[in-house]
Amino acid sequence: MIVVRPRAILLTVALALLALGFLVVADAASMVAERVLVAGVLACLLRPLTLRLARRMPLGLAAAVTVLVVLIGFAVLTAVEIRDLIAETHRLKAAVPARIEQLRLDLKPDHPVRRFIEQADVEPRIREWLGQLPARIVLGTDSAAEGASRVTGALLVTVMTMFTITRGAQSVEGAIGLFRHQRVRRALERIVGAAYRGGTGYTLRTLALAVASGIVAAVASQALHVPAPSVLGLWVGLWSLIPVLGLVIGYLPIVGLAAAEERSRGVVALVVLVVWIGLAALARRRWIAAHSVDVSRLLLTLSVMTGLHVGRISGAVVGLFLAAAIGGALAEARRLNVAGELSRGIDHLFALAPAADPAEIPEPAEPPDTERAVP
Amino acid sequence: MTEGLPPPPPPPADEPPVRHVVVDIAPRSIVFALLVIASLVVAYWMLTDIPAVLIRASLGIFLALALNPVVDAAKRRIGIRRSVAVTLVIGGFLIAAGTFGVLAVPRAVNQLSEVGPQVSQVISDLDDLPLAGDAIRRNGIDQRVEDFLDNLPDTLATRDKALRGIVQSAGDGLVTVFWVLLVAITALLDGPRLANDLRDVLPGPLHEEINHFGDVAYRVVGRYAAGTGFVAVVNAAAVTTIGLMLGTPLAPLVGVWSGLWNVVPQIGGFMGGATLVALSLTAGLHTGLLAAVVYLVYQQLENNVLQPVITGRTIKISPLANMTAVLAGAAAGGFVGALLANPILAIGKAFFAEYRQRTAAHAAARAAVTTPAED
Repeated sequence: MIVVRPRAILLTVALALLALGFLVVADAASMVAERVLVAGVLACLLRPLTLRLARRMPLGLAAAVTVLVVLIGFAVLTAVEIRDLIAETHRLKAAVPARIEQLRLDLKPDHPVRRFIEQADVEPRIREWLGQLPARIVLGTDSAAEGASRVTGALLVTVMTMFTITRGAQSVEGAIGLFRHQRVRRALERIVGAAYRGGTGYTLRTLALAVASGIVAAVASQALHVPAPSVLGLWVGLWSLIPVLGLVIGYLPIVGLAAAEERSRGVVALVVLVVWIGLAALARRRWIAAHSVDVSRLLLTLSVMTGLHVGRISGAVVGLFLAAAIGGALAEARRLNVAGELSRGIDHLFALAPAADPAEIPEPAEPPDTERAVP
Repeated sequence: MTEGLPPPPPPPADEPPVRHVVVDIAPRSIVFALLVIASLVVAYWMLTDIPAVLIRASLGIFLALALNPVVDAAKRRIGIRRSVAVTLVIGGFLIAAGTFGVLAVPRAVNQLSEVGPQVSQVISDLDDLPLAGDAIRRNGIDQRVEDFLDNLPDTLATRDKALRGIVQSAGDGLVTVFWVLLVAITALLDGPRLANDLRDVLPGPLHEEINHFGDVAYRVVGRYAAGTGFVAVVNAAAVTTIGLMLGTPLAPLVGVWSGLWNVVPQIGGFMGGATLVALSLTAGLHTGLLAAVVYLVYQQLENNVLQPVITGRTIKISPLANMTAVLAGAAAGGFVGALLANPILAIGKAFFAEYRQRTAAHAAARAAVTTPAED
């Protein structure tokens, strides 16, 4: 005879309803979840600078100053890029249609390509597309309404980032505090701390290397008289976030454009690429992996690919951070597992009987120590 | 859990004793259930929102598994590090693809311009067919086909959707190729390390089981991928040779197309053969028929000699189950679904066989223990 306790029935129904509700909410609020995730990652990345500033001023003010500094830096970069981009776009708007017109005139009147160019209005379409290019690059769209929506979203993320910098640590600490057993709490604190340290250290260093890659590419482009050096520098910097093949793909336009001007310049650009790939690999090994976490390139690729697909450039940075955080958490979990801490923690979490060991008796509430374990 | 429950009332003296099983849900189970629900939500999100990422990741890992034996062989025979072996194999793969592109694509473009008149000629030849010729002549099918081919550039040019669709497809294809290649490279470089890291996080007693099931899965999928890749290369070479011998237009491209489709069981052979025959028909009715006969002969050789020797021992699934799985996979995930259906089914079968073997071994051990006791 099976006797099911009423509480068990209620819990089962509640869990089913919870699952259903969670699915509905997750589906409806996926955009909010993405913004919260971006804000959380930005908060982790900006927290070291905020804590440094917080030695001289209150934490809230330090967070505001940090976010302001980043926004100003971003605005300056965008302004420089837009100026260069618009100048180059004007050049392209004159050069590309002229080249298409030349191609059209070179072909016989009944040639299918010529008919295609004439009937498809290829020339005005390309001119229009080039005109939209700066807005597409900066806002990710050429629609004014969508651009405004993205700006609003960015403002929301900024506000959430400031909240997360100042209050995120307590929230994480509180969530870990929900676990009754000291061993579980200790293991979780170490894993979350390692994820934070690994993610932040790896991402900040990788971003610094990306900036260096962009500057080198821009200087090389300038020296080789390749058009739009700052735009190409930004392009290379962004591509360098993608492991293994990123720099190669990023340098393709520089090598191609330099070779189009003069073959020897193309060779020089190729040499710059090869030398920089070697230096960047050395920096990744000696400076990034040695001082933060050695992230699996497969995990990094999968994470950045997913991030790019979901949220373009900001998504790629979030993907980078998450891959590094997972790498850091895995490394710490392995260390704990070797020491047996994690297994004991899992055993306690899923143990059928209450802990008999005095060490497992729930401790009285500890004062929150935000700096010890997690951001 | 049964603790804290009041003892069941004693049964009346004239009734047989009743065994009570009390079902309750422990709070810890709720945590586990919540984790399962969260995993389900993530899986749902991945399947609905980022199928493209899943497809690229699956294809990349499949390619890595197909190339892994070559990398292992290079590492073992030349005595080099794995990263160097991966660079050599991927470099060789890219050089082969690049050489093929340089040699075959310009020729294919030239041949493409001749396909239109050849198709009209074939349709005219069809007028002389004994049964269908009259109908083709009466309905003016040859003229319609000729008009369609003449108007194709205009149709593409004036229909924005068609034009954008072609450009977008080409762009998406390039992006997909890039990501698939990157996932394959990083999986070859870091795949085993990531798998070990994930395994080491789990409790130690589970490691042996995970290693065993991992080996079973790798044996099935790895050998299947490698075998399928090898047969696909043989198929591509065979179809290219048939096409070149018969003067089929775009023979090298048809070879690649057929090789790519060949990795999809059951349907793949038909897709490759149908394209070869259709394009051979443009060179003449007799050429088309000859191509069909030669391809059928080759297909028999592949199905009865090559496949059983190379992949037959890794995947032992009945043709009906195979076909059903491929069709279901294709309906769910297109080309990739059809490609992965067979190995997934094979893994399921291998795990089930393992379970049955263990159950039988346990039963035999129990019998061995109880038999002497009874004696």
